[in-house]
Amino acid sequence: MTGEAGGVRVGDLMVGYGGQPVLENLELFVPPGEIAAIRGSSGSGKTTLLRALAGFLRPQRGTIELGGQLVSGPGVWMPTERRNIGLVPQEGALFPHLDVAGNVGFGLPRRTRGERRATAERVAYLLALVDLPGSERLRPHELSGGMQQRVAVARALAREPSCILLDEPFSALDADLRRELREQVRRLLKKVGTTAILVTHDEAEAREFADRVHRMSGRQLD
Amino acid sequence: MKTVPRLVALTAVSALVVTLAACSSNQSAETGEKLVVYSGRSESLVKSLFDQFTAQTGIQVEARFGDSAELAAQIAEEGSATPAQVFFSQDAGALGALNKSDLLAPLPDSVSSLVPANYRTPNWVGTSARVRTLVYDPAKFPKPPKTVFDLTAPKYSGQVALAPKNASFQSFVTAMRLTEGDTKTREWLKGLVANQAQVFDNNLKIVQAVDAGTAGIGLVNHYYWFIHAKEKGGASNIKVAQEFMEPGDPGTLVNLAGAGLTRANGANATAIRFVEFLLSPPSQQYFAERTFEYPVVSGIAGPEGAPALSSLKSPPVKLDDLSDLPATQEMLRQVGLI
Amino acid sequence: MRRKPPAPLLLIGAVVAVVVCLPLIYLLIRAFGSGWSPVIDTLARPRTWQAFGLTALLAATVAATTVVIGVPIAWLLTRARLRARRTWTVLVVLPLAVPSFVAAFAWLSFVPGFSGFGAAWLVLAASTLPYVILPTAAALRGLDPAHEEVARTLGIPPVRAFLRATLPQVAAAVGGGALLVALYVLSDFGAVSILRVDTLSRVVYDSYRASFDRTSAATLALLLAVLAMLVVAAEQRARGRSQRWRLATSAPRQPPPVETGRGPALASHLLLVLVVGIGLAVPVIATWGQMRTGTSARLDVGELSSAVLTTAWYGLIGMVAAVVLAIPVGLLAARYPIPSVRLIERLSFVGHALPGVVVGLGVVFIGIRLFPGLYQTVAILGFAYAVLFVPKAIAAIRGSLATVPPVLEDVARTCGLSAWAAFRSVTVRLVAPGVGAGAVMVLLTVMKELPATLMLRPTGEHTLATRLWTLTEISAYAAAAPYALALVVVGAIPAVILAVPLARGQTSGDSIGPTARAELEESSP
Repeated sequence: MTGEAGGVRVGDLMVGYGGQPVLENLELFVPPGEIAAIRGSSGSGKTTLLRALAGFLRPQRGTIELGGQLVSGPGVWMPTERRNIGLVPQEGALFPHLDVAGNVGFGLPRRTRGERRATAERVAYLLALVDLPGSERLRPHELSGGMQQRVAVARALAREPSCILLDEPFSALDADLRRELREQVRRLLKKVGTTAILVTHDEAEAREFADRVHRMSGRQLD
Repeated sequence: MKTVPRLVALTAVSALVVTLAACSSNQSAETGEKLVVYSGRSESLVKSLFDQFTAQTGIQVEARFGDSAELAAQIAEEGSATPAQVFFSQDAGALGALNKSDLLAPLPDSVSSLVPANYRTPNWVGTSARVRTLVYDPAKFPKPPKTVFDLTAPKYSGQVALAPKNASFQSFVTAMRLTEGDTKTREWLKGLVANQAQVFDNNLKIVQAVDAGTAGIGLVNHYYWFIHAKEKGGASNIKVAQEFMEPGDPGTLVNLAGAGLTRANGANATAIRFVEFLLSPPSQQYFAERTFEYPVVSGIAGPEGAPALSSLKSPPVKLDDLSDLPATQEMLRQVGLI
Repeated sequence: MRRKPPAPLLLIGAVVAVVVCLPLIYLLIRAFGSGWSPVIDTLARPRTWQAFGLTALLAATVAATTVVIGVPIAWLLTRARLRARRTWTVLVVLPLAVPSFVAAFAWLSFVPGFSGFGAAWLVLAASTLPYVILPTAAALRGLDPAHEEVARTLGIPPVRAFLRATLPQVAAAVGGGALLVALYVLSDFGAVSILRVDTLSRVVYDSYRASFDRTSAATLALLLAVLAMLVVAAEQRARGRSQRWRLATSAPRQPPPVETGRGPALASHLLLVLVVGIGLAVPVIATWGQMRTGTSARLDVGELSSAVLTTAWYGLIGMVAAVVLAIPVGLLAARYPIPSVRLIERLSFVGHALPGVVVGLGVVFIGIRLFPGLYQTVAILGFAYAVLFVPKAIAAIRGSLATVPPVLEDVARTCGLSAWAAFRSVTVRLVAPGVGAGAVMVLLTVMKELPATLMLRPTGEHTLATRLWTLTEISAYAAAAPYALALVVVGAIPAVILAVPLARGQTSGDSIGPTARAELEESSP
């Protein structure tokens, strides 16, 4: 589902709270399969943009297209769960009550025996992909920070999303690990060919990770 | 939580504690003779009577008020260490139960002889009497029945209200068993159940239900009607009326509130004096006027508007037999009323 | 992670458990004192087992109802965009201030003929609902909303995302609340007697009141204790499973309030109106109405205010007694869940399921023999309150401690603090609000207590509840109504204290200030 005509397209977006706009006339295009970075300082609106893309916030104006489909626009509003996206939040936000397999397979069907087997196979494949083969039965608190983030990436990739949103996913890690993981995740995304948007305040990280860097400036992107 | 409100709350609480501690510490300054009474009769009804006793004798009454049966249980659990000297009970059953457990001391003849023989036993005396009556809605039943045995008739279907867990109802059923026999009593109770009698927790709720029109006829003690009338501002403000059953009917049973001395602590002049006081003419009058009960000492008039106690003929049963409730309860259980 | 408790602490905990179980020992003496046959007689009655079944059923349905209604309300109060959220938060907690016997009586006068299982279910569920709402809302507030958001991106619709990602994480809090509800229903006498439902506690009272049969009453009370142990054990098992999930996380960011559509918003308001109406408005209005109907309504302001002070005073005594006894048990239960600790915890909960009259008589029996000098003083009364309500304090202490990772104490010790100093300066500080809330809950419950207060209070002293009882006993309902209302008003103070942290936790969705917006905008702490 990484459609050729897809990618991410945002037009004339306005998002505000209580009448005060945080984003205004914002335009963004990320071609399919490309990794984009949104860089900005604290309070610049980059997280607001991410939350609007994910469907946690409803824009006042403008359009959002994900994978070639209009998910938000005049008279159009597609809730988060139907947008087919992946999200990697700051500290992974793994479900503490589930093991690794439960986390990665959270969005996959498991009603019938066949579905459960397919899910288990998919989980094993994804865990191998993020270099954590055989870790299905581990609990989140038994994992290191870097491992937790890789599980979070696997979970985000599980349903072959049209777009992956990464919200400062490396910020809680130490510098060496951050660089290593950044490189690993970039290779992975390129291998899968998913469109990805990284939100970060770190200029160097944005440059190293992404194919193209957009900077928040005012209420728009450069 | 923020710090400031918490500080304020803490200060307020500490201030309250200190104030209250100061208040409670100056209460124990009294000296002189005192008497501990466990009273199953309500504080609102008898407190001023106790105050009169103190005024007359100078003896402080330390009264602990509660449910008669629970106080009886408390005296039993306290055993020989009980602080109670006198047990003043709402009904004969609690006194009988204590007496059976050998927890009451005998009363001197000088006291018990004040009361007619049918209203006393060797270890406790009745202090006032109640009569079983029938309350009814005159709009529904202009001519109320004269015997409780009529209540199983089809015309009263769904209309009869009972309080089968109430001790006074159970005493009444016991009296019926003793005078009419178990078979007839059981048939009558079954008849009530078949007639869809309504079950209530206490007598007053019955009077209220009949007044409100949700029941047509109810079996109660006579004074509940008076209490309800007083609460509502007079007999003219209520719909419910009261009828005494024909003489000798089990439905006209006379029951007692009474007092006894605890074996552990009550065999002394102070406690005896208190029981004597309860039987004195002013106290007896007090019962008639304030609680609408019948005095047990002869020569004192009953509550206004009620027939004289002597004109009502209670079924021929002994009080001691009435406190024996388990067989009655078993029967009530079997027919499904409790 | 499973460490061995220090021996002195375990010893103190065991002593507390024994002390709190003294009424149970009394019951055993009373039930088996005259041999097995009266016990067997009581157990052979079909009525005993009918009551047992009915009690279990009532406790289960009320607990289930409070969970099914309470969890969505907790969610509404913490996560949804809700008009007048703070007001609603206080209003749904206020039914705690209405004693169940006041509520039942008010309902009966409001709807003539209101009685039976359904009636008791309604009244008890409405008055115990806050026991579920409070801990659930607090747990939801402490949770990272990212979990639910991730679930949504994984294609799970909102309600199912809540059920699958969030609910399991707050299950322990919900279960703890449901436990208190179930124990409350087991012990309740006021509502079931007024609404005429033959639960075990009512049959126990009947044994005293109608048959003067203390042996049979004790046997039935032991059955109640068994039922309580089963409930507590079930909750312990559920919690044991959930505790493994706990993951130390940083302070969560507060999510933006969820927008609901017009239909769901209407439905939520309807639910709130219904809950507040049943649990608070009807009881208060009907009691107010009572006051105006009768002629007995002469109010002695001096008596009323002295009753208010005594109520507050006893409440404080009961609160301190319960919290002091609860600290060692709560500490053991949170930190060292080994089998012997589980047993101590279970035993400490039994008193809460027993009707007040049973605990009262047990304390009479033991108090007058062991401490004759203290009998019918506030000391013994406070002890009875502790026996009755220590579980509420234990639950609060255990719950707060569970959120403080022991590693924080280890850190403090590496900073040169002694074990005790580390505990005091880190853990005590962190658990204080939670323990305080538990203490206030005990205070509130003590103020409504009646049977044990009647038996054990210093002679001549009156609380609002005993005055109320005295007046309703002679059916002076109009005169009783001011005391009922005063009880609700006095109880409202601790209830509001419980609701305030919850109400304050989040800005109302309608007026989002600049600070809140910055918080929303910048998710990194």
